[in-house]
Amino acid sequence: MSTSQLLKGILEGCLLAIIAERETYGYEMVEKLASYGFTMVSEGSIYPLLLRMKKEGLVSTTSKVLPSGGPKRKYYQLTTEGQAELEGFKERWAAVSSSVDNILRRHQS
Amino acid sequence: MTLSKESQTFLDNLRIYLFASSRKEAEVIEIMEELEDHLYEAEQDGKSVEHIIGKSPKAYMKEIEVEVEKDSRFWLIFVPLIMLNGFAYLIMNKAIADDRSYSLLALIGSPAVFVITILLLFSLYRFIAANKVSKKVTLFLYLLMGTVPTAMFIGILLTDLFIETPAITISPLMNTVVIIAACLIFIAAALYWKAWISVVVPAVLYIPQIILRYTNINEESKFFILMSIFIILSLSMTIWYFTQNKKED
Repeated sequence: MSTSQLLKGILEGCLLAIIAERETYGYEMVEKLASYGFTMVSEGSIYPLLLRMKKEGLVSTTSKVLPSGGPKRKYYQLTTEGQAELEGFKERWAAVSSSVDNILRRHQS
Repeated sequence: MTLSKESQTFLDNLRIYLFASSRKEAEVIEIMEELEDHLYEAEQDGKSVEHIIGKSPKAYMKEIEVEVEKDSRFWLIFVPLIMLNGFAYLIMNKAIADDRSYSLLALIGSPAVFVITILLLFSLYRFIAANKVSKKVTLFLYLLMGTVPTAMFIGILLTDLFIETPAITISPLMNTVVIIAACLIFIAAALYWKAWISVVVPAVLYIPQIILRYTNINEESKFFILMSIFIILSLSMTIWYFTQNKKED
Protein backbone atom coordinates (compact mmCIF):
# COMPACT_ATOMS: atom_id res chain seq x y z
CA MET A 1 0.00 0.00 0.00
CA SER A 2 1.31 3.44 -0.85
CA THR A 3 1.58 6.11 1.79
CA SER A 4 -1.56 8.17 1.99
CA GLN A 5 -1.49 11.78 0.84
CA LEU A 6 -2.07 13.06 4.36
CA LEU A 7 0.83 11.09 5.77
CA LYS A 8 3.04 12.26 2.90
CA GLY A 9 2.33 15.89 3.72
CA ILE A 10 3.24 15.28 7.35
CA LEU A 11 6.36 13.35 6.38
CA GLU A 12 7.43 16.24 4.14
CA GLY A 13 7.08 18.67 7.06
CA CYS A 14 9.12 16.37 9.32
CA LEU A 15 11.86 16.01 6.71
CA LEU A 16 12.05 19.79 6.34
CA ALA A 17 12.44 20.12 10.10
CA ILE A 18 15.17 17.45 10.23
CA ILE A 19 17.11 18.97 7.33
CA ALA A 20 16.73 22.42 8.95
CA GLU A 21 18.78 21.22 11.94
CA ARG A 22 21.82 20.53 9.79
CA GLU A 23 22.60 19.12 6.36
CA THR A 24 21.97 15.39 6.30
CA TYR A 25 21.52 12.34 4.05
CA GLY A 26 18.74 9.81 3.50
CA TYR A 27 19.67 7.09 5.96
CA GLU A 28 20.38 9.57 8.74
CA MET A 29 16.95 11.17 8.19
CA VAL A 30 15.27 7.78 8.50
CA GLU A 31 17.15 7.06 11.73
CA LYS A 32 16.10 10.41 13.15
CA LEU A 33 12.48 9.82 12.13
CA ALA A 34 12.58 6.42 13.84
CA SER A 35 14.18 7.84 16.98
CA TYR A 36 11.13 10.13 17.30
CA GLY A 37 8.81 7.19 16.74
CA PHE A 38 7.86 8.07 13.17
CA THR A 39 7.77 4.54 11.74
CA MET A 40 4.43 4.61 9.90
CA VAL A 41 6.05 4.64 6.46
CA SER A 42 8.59 2.31 4.88
CA GLU A 43 12.06 3.84 4.86
CA GLY A 44 12.33 4.05 1.09
CA SER A 45 9.30 6.29 0.74
CA ILE A 46 11.36 9.34 1.72
CA TYR A 47 13.27 9.22 -1.59
CA PRO A 48 10.43 9.93 -4.04
CA LEU A 49 9.39 12.67 -1.63
CA LEU A 50 12.91 14.17 -1.44
CA LEU A 51 13.06 14.10 -5.23
CA ARG A 52 9.87 16.15 -5.43
CA MET A 53 11.02 18.54 -2.69
CA LYS A 54 14.19 19.15 -4.66
CA LYS A 55 12.21 19.87 -7.84
CA GLU A 56 10.02 22.29 -5.91
CA GLY A 57 13.18 24.05 -4.74
CA LEU A 58 12.62 23.33 -1.04
CA VAL A 59 15.95 21.54 -0.67
CA SER A 60 19.28 21.55 -2.47
CA THR A 61 21.78 18.70 -2.64
CA THR A 62 25.53 18.22 -2.75
CA SER A 63 27.37 14.96 -3.38
CA LYS A 64 30.25 14.20 -1.09
CA VAL A 65 32.84 11.46 -1.34
CA LEU A 66 33.06 9.58 1.92
CA PRO A 67 36.43 9.45 3.67
CA SER A 68 35.94 5.66 3.91
CA GLY A 69 35.72 5.46 0.11
CA GLY A 70 32.83 3.88 -1.75
CA PRO A 71 30.13 5.75 -3.67
CA LYS A 72 29.30 9.42 -3.22
CA ARG A 73 26.68 10.32 -0.67
CA LYS A 74 23.97 12.88 -1.34
CA TYR A 75 23.53 15.52 1.35
CA TYR A 76 20.45 17.72 1.61
CA GLN A 77 20.30 21.36 2.67
CA LEU A 78 17.30 23.59 3.23
CA THR A 79 16.78 26.50 0.82
CA THR A 80 15.09 29.78 1.78
CA GLU A 81 11.92 28.46 0.09
CA GLY A 82 12.26 25.34 2.22
CA GLN A 83 12.62 27.45 5.33
CA ALA A 84 9.44 29.35 4.46
CA GLU A 85 7.62 26.09 3.72
CA LEU A 86 8.72 24.71 7.10
CA GLU A 87 7.30 27.79 8.88
CA GLY A 88 4.05 27.34 6.94
CA PHE A 89 3.93 23.66 7.89
CA LYS A 90 4.46 24.47 11.58
CA GLU A 91 1.48 26.85 11.53
CA ARG A 92 -0.74 24.44 9.61
CA TRP A 93 0.24 21.58 11.88
CA ALA A 94 -0.39 23.60 15.05
CA ALA A 95 -3.88 24.44 13.80
CA VAL A 96 -4.68 20.88 12.71
CA SER A 97 -3.25 19.11 15.75
CA SER A 98 -4.92 21.45 18.28
CA SER A 99 -8.30 21.12 16.60
CA VAL A 100 -7.98 17.33 16.34
CA ASP A 101 -6.91 17.20 20.00
CA ASN A 102 -9.93 19.28 20.99
CA ILE A 103 -12.33 17.03 19.12
CA LEU A 104 -10.83 13.84 20.55
CA ARG A 105 -10.78 15.24 24.08
CA ARG A 106 -14.48 16.13 23.91
CA HIS A 107 -15.20 12.70 22.49
CA GLN A 108 -13.50 11.01 25.45
CA SER A 109 -15.32 12.96 28.15
CA MET B 1 30.56 -2.74 -0.80
CA THR B 2 28.39 -5.75 -1.51
CA LEU B 3 24.64 -5.97 -1.22
CA SER B 4 22.52 -9.01 -0.50
CA LYS B 5 21.10 -10.78 -3.53
CA GLU B 6 17.61 -9.60 -2.69
CA SER B 7 18.62 -5.93 -2.57
CA GLN B 8 20.65 -6.21 -5.76
CA THR B 9 17.75 -7.88 -7.57
CA PHE B 10 15.43 -5.09 -6.50
CA LEU B 11 17.86 -2.41 -7.72
CA ASP B 12 18.35 -4.20 -11.06
CA ASN B 13 14.61 -4.50 -11.53
CA LEU B 14 14.08 -0.86 -10.63
CA ARG B 15 16.66 0.18 -13.21
CA ILE B 16 14.93 -1.87 -15.92
CA TYR B 17 11.52 -0.57 -14.86
CA LEU B 18 12.61 3.08 -15.06
CA PHE B 19 14.50 2.51 -18.30
CA ALA B 20 11.40 0.98 -19.88
CA SER B 21 9.32 3.98 -18.91
CA SER B 22 11.95 6.19 -20.61
CA ARG B 23 12.91 8.27 -17.59
CA LYS B 24 15.86 10.69 -17.57
CA GLU B 25 19.00 8.61 -17.16
CA ALA B 26 20.89 11.09 -14.96
CA GLU B 27 18.00 11.22 -12.49
CA VAL B 28 17.65 7.44 -12.52
CA ILE B 29 21.34 7.02 -11.72
CA GLU B 30 21.07 9.59 -8.93
CA ILE B 31 18.19 7.89 -7.13
CA MET B 32 19.70 4.44 -7.72
CA GLU B 33 22.95 5.49 -6.02
CA GLU B 34 21.01 6.94 -3.11
CA LEU B 35 18.98 3.76 -2.69
CA GLU B 36 22.06 1.56 -2.99
CA ASP B 37 23.72 3.55 -0.22
CA HIS B 38 20.57 3.26 1.91
CA LEU B 39 20.13 -0.48 1.32
CA TYR B 40 23.77 -1.07 2.20
CA GLU B 41 23.51 0.78 5.51
CA ALA B 42 20.17 -0.83 6.29
CA GLU B 43 21.67 -4.28 5.72
CA GLN B 44 24.54 -3.44 8.05
CA ASP B 45 21.88 -2.69 10.67
CA GLY B 46 20.18 -5.99 9.93
CA LYS B 47 17.03 -4.57 8.29
CA SER B 48 15.21 -6.46 5.56
CA VAL B 49 14.56 -5.15 2.05
CA GLU B 50 10.85 -5.16 2.81
CA HIS B 51 11.51 -2.75 5.66
CA ILE B 52 12.90 -0.26 3.13
CA ILE B 53 10.68 -0.59 0.10
CA GLY B 54 7.47 -1.77 1.71
CA LYS B 55 5.49 -4.92 0.99
CA SER B 56 5.04 -4.34 -2.72
CA PRO B 57 8.11 -3.62 -4.86
CA LYS B 58 5.73 -2.76 -7.69
CA ALA B 59 4.00 -0.02 -5.68
CA TYR B 60 7.35 1.41 -4.64
CA MET B 61 8.66 1.39 -8.22
CA LYS B 62 5.54 3.26 -9.31
CA GLU B 63 6.02 5.77 -6.48
CA ILE B 64 9.54 6.54 -7.74
CA GLU B 65 8.50 6.51 -11.40
CA VAL B 66 6.04 9.36 -10.81
CA GLU B 67 8.75 11.61 -9.39
CA VAL B 68 11.50 10.94 -11.92
CA GLU B 69 11.23 13.17 -14.97
CA LYS B 70 10.35 11.63 -18.32
CA ASP B 71 12.95 11.74 -21.07
CA SER B 72 11.06 13.05 -24.07
CA ARG B 73 14.13 12.62 -26.26
CA PHE B 74 13.39 8.90 -26.47
CA TRP B 75 10.18 9.22 -28.50
CA LEU B 76 11.03 12.57 -30.11
CA ILE B 77 14.57 11.83 -31.31
CA PHE B 78 15.76 8.31 -30.59
CA VAL B 79 12.85 6.34 -32.09
CA PRO B 80 12.36 8.55 -35.20
CA LEU B 81 16.11 8.49 -35.87
CA ILE B 82 16.32 4.69 -35.73
CA MET B 83 13.22 4.48 -37.90
CA LEU B 84 14.60 6.95 -40.47
CA ASN B 85 17.93 5.15 -40.43
CA GLY B 86 16.23 1.84 -41.18
CA PHE B 87 14.21 3.51 -43.90
CA ALA B 88 17.33 5.03 -45.42
CA TYR B 89 18.87 1.57 -45.93
CA LEU B 90 15.65 0.23 -47.44
CA ILE B 91 15.28 3.22 -49.74
CA MET B 92 18.92 3.19 -50.87
CA ASN B 93 18.66 -0.44 -51.93
CA LYS B 94 15.58 0.31 -54.00
CA ALA B 95 16.76 3.69 -55.28
CA ILE B 96 20.11 2.36 -56.54
CA ALA B 97 18.35 -0.49 -58.31
CA ASP B 98 16.08 2.21 -59.81
CA ASP B 99 13.05 0.48 -58.32
CA ARG B 100 10.77 3.47 -57.91
CA SER B 101 7.57 1.83 -56.74
CA TYR B 102 6.77 1.84 -53.04
CA SER B 103 4.04 -0.19 -51.37
CA LEU B 104 1.88 2.09 -49.26
CA LEU B 105 1.18 -0.77 -46.85
CA ALA B 106 4.88 -1.34 -46.17
CA LEU B 107 5.51 2.40 -45.98
CA ILE B 108 2.98 2.82 -43.19
CA GLY B 109 3.11 -0.69 -41.75
CA SER B 110 6.83 -0.97 -41.05
CA PRO B 111 7.09 2.07 -38.74
CA ALA B 112 3.86 0.99 -37.06
CA VAL B 113 5.30 -2.48 -36.38
CA PHE B 114 8.45 -0.84 -35.01
CA VAL B 115 6.56 1.42 -32.60
CA ILE B 116 4.21 -1.39 -31.49
CA THR B 117 7.24 -3.61 -30.85
CA ILE B 118 8.91 -0.99 -28.63
CA LEU B 119 5.69 -0.41 -26.70
CA LEU B 120 5.15 -4.16 -26.20
CA LEU B 121 8.78 -4.76 -25.24
CA PHE B 122 8.72 -1.92 -22.72
CA SER B 123 5.52 -3.13 -21.09
CA LEU B 124 7.00 -6.62 -20.95
CA TYR B 125 10.17 -5.28 -19.27
CA ARG B 126 8.07 -3.35 -16.77
CA PHE B 127 5.83 -6.33 -16.08
CA ILE B 128 8.74 -8.70 -15.44
CA ALA B 129 10.64 -6.12 -13.35
CA ALA B 130 7.69 -5.27 -11.11
CA ASN B 131 6.17 -8.73 -10.63
CA LYS B 132 7.61 -11.97 -9.39
CA VAL B 133 7.69 -13.98 -12.59
CA SER B 134 9.27 -17.43 -12.74
CA LYS B 135 12.16 -18.08 -15.14
CA LYS B 136 10.05 -20.40 -17.29
CA VAL B 137 7.27 -17.86 -17.73
CA THR B 138 9.83 -15.12 -18.43
CA LEU B 139 11.46 -17.19 -21.15
CA PHE B 140 8.07 -18.00 -22.67
CA LEU B 141 7.06 -14.33 -22.67
CA TYR B 142 10.31 -13.28 -24.38
CA LEU B 143 9.89 -15.98 -27.02
CA LEU B 144 6.34 -14.85 -27.61
CA MET B 145 7.55 -11.27 -27.79
CA GLY B 146 10.16 -12.24 -30.37
CA THR B 147 7.61 -13.77 -32.70
CA VAL B 148 5.21 -10.81 -32.67
CA PRO B 149 7.18 -8.32 -34.82
CA THR B 150 8.38 -11.10 -37.12
CA ALA B 151 4.81 -12.24 -37.64
CA MET B 152 3.67 -8.70 -38.35
CA PHE B 153 6.47 -8.08 -40.88
CA ILE B 154 5.76 -11.39 -42.63
CA GLY B 155 2.09 -10.42 -42.64
CA ILE B 156 2.90 -7.18 -44.47
CA LEU B 157 5.14 -8.99 -46.97
CA LEU B 158 2.57 -11.70 -47.69
CA THR B 159 -0.24 -9.18 -48.08
CA ASP B 160 1.88 -7.24 -50.56
CA LEU B 161 2.70 -10.44 -52.43
CA PHE B 162 -0.79 -11.82 -52.77
CA ILE B 163 -3.03 -8.81 -52.79
CA GLU B 164 -2.66 -5.77 -54.98
CA THR B 165 -2.08 -3.07 -52.37
CA PRO B 166 -1.89 0.59 -53.33
CA ALA B 167 1.60 1.67 -54.33
CA ILE B 168 3.18 4.95 -55.27
CA THR B 169 5.72 5.37 -58.04
CA ILE B 170 8.08 8.30 -57.88
CA SER B 171 9.75 10.16 -60.75
CA PRO B 172 13.48 9.66 -61.54
CA LEU B 173 14.09 13.15 -60.19
CA MET B 174 12.36 12.23 -56.93
CA ASN B 175 14.50 9.10 -56.87
CA THR B 176 17.64 11.29 -56.80
CA VAL B 177 16.09 13.40 -54.05
CA VAL B 178 15.38 10.22 -52.07
CA ILE B 179 19.03 9.13 -52.41
CA ILE B 180 20.27 12.53 -51.18
CA ALA B 181 17.78 12.44 -48.28
CA ALA B 182 18.99 8.96 -47.29
CA CYS B 183 22.62 10.19 -47.35
CA LEU B 184 21.68 13.11 -45.09
CA ILE B 185 19.97 10.72 -42.67
CA PHE B 186 23.14 8.56 -42.51
CA ILE B 187 25.21 11.66 -41.74
CA ALA B 188 22.70 12.96 -39.18
CA ALA B 189 22.67 9.57 -37.43
CA ALA B 190 26.49 9.49 -37.34
CA LEU B 191 26.58 12.98 -35.84
CA TYR B 192 23.88 12.17 -33.27
CA TRP B 193 25.34 8.85 -32.10
CA LYS B 194 28.88 10.21 -32.52
CA ALA B 195 29.76 7.00 -34.33
CA TRP B 196 31.29 6.90 -37.79
CA ILE B 197 29.91 3.44 -38.37
CA SER B 198 26.52 4.91 -39.39
CA VAL B 199 28.26 6.51 -42.36
CA VAL B 200 30.97 3.94 -43.05
CA VAL B 201 28.63 0.95 -43.44
CA PRO B 202 26.29 2.55 -46.01
CA ALA B 203 29.27 4.12 -47.81
CA VAL B 204 30.96 0.76 -48.24
CA LEU B 205 27.67 -0.89 -49.16
CA TYR B 206 26.41 1.62 -51.68
CA ILE B 207 29.28 3.65 -53.19
CA PRO B 208 30.82 0.65 -55.04
CA GLN B 209 27.35 -0.27 -56.31
CA ILE B 210 26.82 3.21 -57.71
CA ILE B 211 30.28 3.35 -59.30
CA LEU B 212 29.90 -0.11 -60.83
CA ARG B 213 26.57 0.86 -62.36
CA TYR B 214 28.30 3.45 -64.49
CA THR B 215 31.26 1.29 -65.54
CA ASN B 216 31.44 -1.33 -68.26
CA ILE B 217 32.25 -4.43 -66.28
CA ASN B 218 30.31 -7.64 -66.83
CA GLU B 219 27.83 -8.81 -64.20
CA GLU B 220 30.00 -11.64 -62.92
CA SER B 221 33.01 -9.42 -62.15
CA LYS B 222 30.69 -6.87 -60.53
CA PHE B 223 29.42 -9.56 -58.21
CA PHE B 224 32.95 -10.64 -57.26
CA ILE B 225 34.10 -7.08 -56.66
CA LEU B 226 31.10 -6.37 -54.42
CA MET B 227 31.50 -9.64 -52.55
CA SER B 228 35.22 -9.10 -51.90
CA ILE B 229 34.58 -5.57 -50.64
CA PHE B 230 31.89 -6.92 -48.34
CA ILE B 231 34.11 -9.73 -46.99
CA ILE B 232 37.12 -7.43 -46.45
CA LEU B 233 34.92 -4.95 -44.61
CA SER B 234 33.35 -7.54 -42.29
CA LEU B 235 36.75 -9.07 -41.54
CA SER B 236 38.40 -5.76 -40.78
CA MET B 237 35.46 -4.74 -38.62
CA THR B 238 35.65 -7.98 -36.64
CA ILE B 239 39.40 -7.58 -36.15
CA TRP B 240 38.96 -3.92 -35.17
CA TYR B 241 36.27 -4.91 -32.69
CA PHE B 242 38.47 -7.54 -31.02
CA THR B 243 41.57 -5.33 -30.79
CA GLN B 244 39.42 -2.57 -29.33
CA ASN B 245 38.06 -4.99 -26.71
CA LYS B 246 41.56 -6.17 -25.84
CA LYS B 247 42.69 -2.60 -25.27
CA GLU B 248 39.89 -2.10 -22.79
CA ASP B 249 40.89 -5.22 -20.89
